[in-house]
Amino acid sequence: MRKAWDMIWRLTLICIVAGLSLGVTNEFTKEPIAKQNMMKENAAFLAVMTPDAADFNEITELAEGIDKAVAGMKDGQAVGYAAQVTVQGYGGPIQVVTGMDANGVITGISVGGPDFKETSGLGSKTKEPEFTDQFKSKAAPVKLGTDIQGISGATISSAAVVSAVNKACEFMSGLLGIAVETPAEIEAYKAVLPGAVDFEEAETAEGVDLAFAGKKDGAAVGYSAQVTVQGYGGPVEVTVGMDMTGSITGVSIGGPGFNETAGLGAKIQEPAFTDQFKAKTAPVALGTDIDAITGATVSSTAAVTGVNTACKFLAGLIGLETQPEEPEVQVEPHVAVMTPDAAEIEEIEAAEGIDKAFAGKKDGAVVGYAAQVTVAGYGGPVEVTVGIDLTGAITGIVVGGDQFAETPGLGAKVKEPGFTEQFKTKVAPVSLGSDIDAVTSATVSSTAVVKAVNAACEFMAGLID
Amino acid sequence: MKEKSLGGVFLNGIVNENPTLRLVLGVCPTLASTTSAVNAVGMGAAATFVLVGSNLVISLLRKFIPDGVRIPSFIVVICTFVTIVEMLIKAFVPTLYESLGVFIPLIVVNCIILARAEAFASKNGPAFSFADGIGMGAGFTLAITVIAAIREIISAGTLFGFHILPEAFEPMQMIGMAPGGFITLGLVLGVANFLTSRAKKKKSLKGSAA
Repeated sequence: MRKAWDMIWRLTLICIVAGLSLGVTNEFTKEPIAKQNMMKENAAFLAVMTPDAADFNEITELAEGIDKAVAGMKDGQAVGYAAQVTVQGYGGPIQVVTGMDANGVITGISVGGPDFKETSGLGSKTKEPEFTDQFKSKAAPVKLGTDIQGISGATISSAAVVSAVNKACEFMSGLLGIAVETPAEIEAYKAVLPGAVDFEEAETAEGVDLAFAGKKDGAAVGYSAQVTVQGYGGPVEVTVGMDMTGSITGVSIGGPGFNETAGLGAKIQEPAFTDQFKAKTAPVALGTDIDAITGATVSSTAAVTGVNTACKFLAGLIGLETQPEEPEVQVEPHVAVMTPDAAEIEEIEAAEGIDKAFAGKKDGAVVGYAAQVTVAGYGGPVEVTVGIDLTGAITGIVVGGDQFAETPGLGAKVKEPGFTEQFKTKVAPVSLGSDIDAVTSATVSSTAVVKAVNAACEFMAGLID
Repeated sequence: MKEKSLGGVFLNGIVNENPTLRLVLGVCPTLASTTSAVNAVGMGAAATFVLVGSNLVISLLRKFIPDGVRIPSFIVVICTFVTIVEMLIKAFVPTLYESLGVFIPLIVVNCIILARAEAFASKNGPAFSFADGIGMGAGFTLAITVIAAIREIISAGTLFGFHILPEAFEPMQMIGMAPGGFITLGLVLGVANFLTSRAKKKKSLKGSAA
């Protein structure tokens, strides 16, 4: 019996000491552990929050569907928000944390959560920066397909993330007092109309996507409009701001479908190009008012066309008369193909077989020519406009015409840059097969274009001599 | 057993009584943590730390603990130790906890620790128990790192996360899963047995010749 009591008190003592030491350790470590846990939990929030935020305040009043939200504070003012939303993905719930700055622009998103079970290699890619970075600096609502490229083979996961982001943004926009319907382009409008504080949608005309009146202290200080033109790689959205005197306050180029060649056409988005429009009065002309991007005539021309279209509309809104000096706002093919050195273009006498001819001049001296020739293609007449510089090298060609009727997808490809760009810097006569690759299965159309180019060049070569 | 020295006790844990390869203890944590070499080293380090600590405490308490309730006492001591270590790491070295966190609770079920408490620490002084803890820990770490290295190379073509096999090598993912763990453990055990039995034979031959 003594032995049993001995065992009991010794084991009890060991347990008491163990329990005490655990209790003491817990007391010591409770606070640091809680802090660590909070940091871990907030890591996603920190990652997406605007970097301006110095401090964080948890928001207690949440909307339905919002798991958690924090406000990023700086000097006592909210400079951004982040909110977490859980949506059903393909394999299970997905937690998405979205950050937004005070202007309603998304500062980042983080995808994951402890129960993230999207298919590895497919849906799991929604976690990766390649996908999540697309959301950055967009304004909600974002759309899959236009604003955001989904993960191929993982539409459900991609759509789930997008819907979560939009839900979070809706909630945060409410906090900011920004209307949910704020168009994604609002940033572009702000950029092109720096003087305006508030924007009010204005009536649009045909060919104009959106128009806004920019106001300050209740009075209109300018107008802005967005038009979409066809660029080299796809549609290009051009947003133009105009002050009340009719001069351009800014141009912003882009849009969700913007697909100009990186390093070439994409340069029309850059300030070096867009700033050229500032303080100019429409219509602007490529080559004189605006320097084109070298090697990206199509994109540059598209941008100029867009600006002029928008300006024409804006001038009407403001009540200004469009200047009549250059009624032709559309950039003509001969302008597009003319060497960029040319500052002015004048029509010259054409020869037989040549529809029209132009000389490009700079400081009174001729720097290049352009000529338009019509040849018979496969489906009908094909108008080909060719530009050359004084060395006889082709500066560009444009294929088309009102009666252009080549087979879509085959002969019609002779209009596309993939074919026409081949002629650039070549010296006539060019021949199909060696200098120029024909469009596959469209030999007749390709041959017709080559023939026209050679005819035009022969005529222009005569002019140079 | 011969005269004990601290060095001998230490080496004993690595070679003669290697817990994984000779005593075949702690198979569960071995299988769980040998999917990559980094994991194995982490597990080994955490287990060694706890092993040394519990050996030391149990050796000090060995006269106090009554024989009849020694196993519950050991378990209470080990669990307390593991929990305290977990809390401390979590609170003050969160980065280490990030990488070792999952292994720490696993250590409680590592029977090497209980086995050494029972077989060694409860019968020896603190100095020897400390050496035994270090030796056993090192032996355990070494053995699981070898197994993990083999599994990582075959299942992912990497070692400690670095690519060492050419791209053309098609990783055998099965080796990285539980069956592959058993197969690798079995093969490594076989090699260890072969080496030790040959060493013994040589020794006995030498002995008879002399």
